[in-house]
Amino acid sequence: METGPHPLAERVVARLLPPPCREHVLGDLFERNATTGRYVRDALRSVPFAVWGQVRRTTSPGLACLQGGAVYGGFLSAYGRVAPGVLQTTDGLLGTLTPALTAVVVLALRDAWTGRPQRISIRALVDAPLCVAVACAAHVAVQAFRTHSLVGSTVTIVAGVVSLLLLSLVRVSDAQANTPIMSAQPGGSGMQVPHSDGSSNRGSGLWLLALVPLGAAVGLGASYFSPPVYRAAVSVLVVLPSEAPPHMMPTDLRPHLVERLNVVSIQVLNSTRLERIIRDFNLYERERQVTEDAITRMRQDISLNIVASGERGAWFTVAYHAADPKIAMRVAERFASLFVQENLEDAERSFRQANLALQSRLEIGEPFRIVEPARLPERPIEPIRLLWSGLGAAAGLIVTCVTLLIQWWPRPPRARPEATALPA
Amino acid sequence: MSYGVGQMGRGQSLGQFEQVVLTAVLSLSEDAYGVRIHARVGELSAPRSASLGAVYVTLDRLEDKGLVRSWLSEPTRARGGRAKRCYELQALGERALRESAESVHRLHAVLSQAWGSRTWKPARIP
Repeated sequence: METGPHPLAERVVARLLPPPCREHVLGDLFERNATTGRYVRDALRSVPFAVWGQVRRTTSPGLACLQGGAVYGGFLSAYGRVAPGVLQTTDGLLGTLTPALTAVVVLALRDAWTGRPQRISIRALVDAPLCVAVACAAHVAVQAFRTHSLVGSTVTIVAGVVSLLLLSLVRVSDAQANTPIMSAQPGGSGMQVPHSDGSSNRGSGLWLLALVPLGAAVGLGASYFSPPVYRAAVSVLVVLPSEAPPHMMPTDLRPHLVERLNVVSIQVLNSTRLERIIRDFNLYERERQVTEDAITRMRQDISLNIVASGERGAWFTVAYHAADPKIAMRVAERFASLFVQENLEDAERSFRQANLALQSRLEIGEPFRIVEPARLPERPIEPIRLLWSGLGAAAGLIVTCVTLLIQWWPRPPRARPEATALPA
Repeated sequence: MSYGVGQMGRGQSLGQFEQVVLTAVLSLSEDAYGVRIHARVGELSAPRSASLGAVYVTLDRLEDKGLVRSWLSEPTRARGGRAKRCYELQALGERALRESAESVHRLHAVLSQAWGSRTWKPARIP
């Protein structure tokens, strides 16, 4: 006959209970149950309520909404920047809501276990990275679970950085504004006297400057997780007809070239052609579920740049950005040849349709000739580690400044409860 | 012990389960702690049963409202060396309970008048 629960069961239940209610709930369970089986069954029924009771005491709905909103905003902005089309789909809904809800739950449990931060401290700032890390993990898990998911790690990284910034501000503001009512310490009666003017909450705050190098370090670290981007470019020469008399030559080819490139680009970058290239090179595996997204991404990854123009000629580059240098080189070459071919076909079509003079031919377009094929890029152009470090340091500086501003902002004094108390 | 006014305004009614828990705390006086309160709540709300966890949540809520106060007692061997959290009704709680009781009395009077011919009697409190 057992006279009490097994110590291991008691230890496990103790870990599941928030410290403020651990002592008396464990005692009650011990007193009520002589056997381990009954103890465990009773604990399973009681512990969720005890946890919920503590969560309710340490988390306000407003704070939970703000915290969830901060993480939701971070993921929403990341999706909007990287994969806007996904936001309209179930993946977008899951991808933004799951991390936000995870963050709310994690912070609520964290506050229930350790108490809500009552002043600006390292604890108030550590909570945000911890929570964002779990939220990002939840996002990655959702993406992995949904095999036809459309976004990559870029969204997670960008969203993590933005969420971290927003959530830090929310946590720090709450820590400063929080006037504790209920004690989170075990054994306390629960009542605490709030500060009359919050002056005792104010430290020098100089330690917050450590957030600047910390932010730079985080930015640098995050840059290593950011996928590399390689750029391959093909130089194309615009050849002027040698038989053209000088007086018929335009003084500057740039306006003609811009117009010409616009016309040819419409032909080269049409959806059907891009879709074929995407299929041929097996590009944008994630985005390919929604064709429009893949095409939009591809148009963003192509760049046309007029390098130089003069009286006797001009040249421009066709560049393509990709995570794989070989793919970048091959796709850039493909696009360059398409530009040359399409320009030629377009000119011939126009030339056949009308009996044009030389001047008109010049206006229609000069032949393109590839003068420098794409080379295999040796180094990625992104991520720029210095830029990431700088952004991290800037984010740290913003958090520091806002925190100090909140900390030192003059606040009206609060009345002590004793002033309006009734006798017991 | 002092408490702030305005934590529970006059006329703010108690929920049914809160009334039962407050009554249990009042009736147990010095011996009001989790296990005992739960047992007394079970008696008062029979035939319905309430879980120990629900009692904890309600006690926390009542404490936040300033209707009860709590403290930890000395650890005892019967509880595996753990302390009890004892509860005591506060003046605000007593006033809220009294208002609830008056409301129940009024309800009882009206129901007795309406159902008097059917020999209705409220269940006996154990």
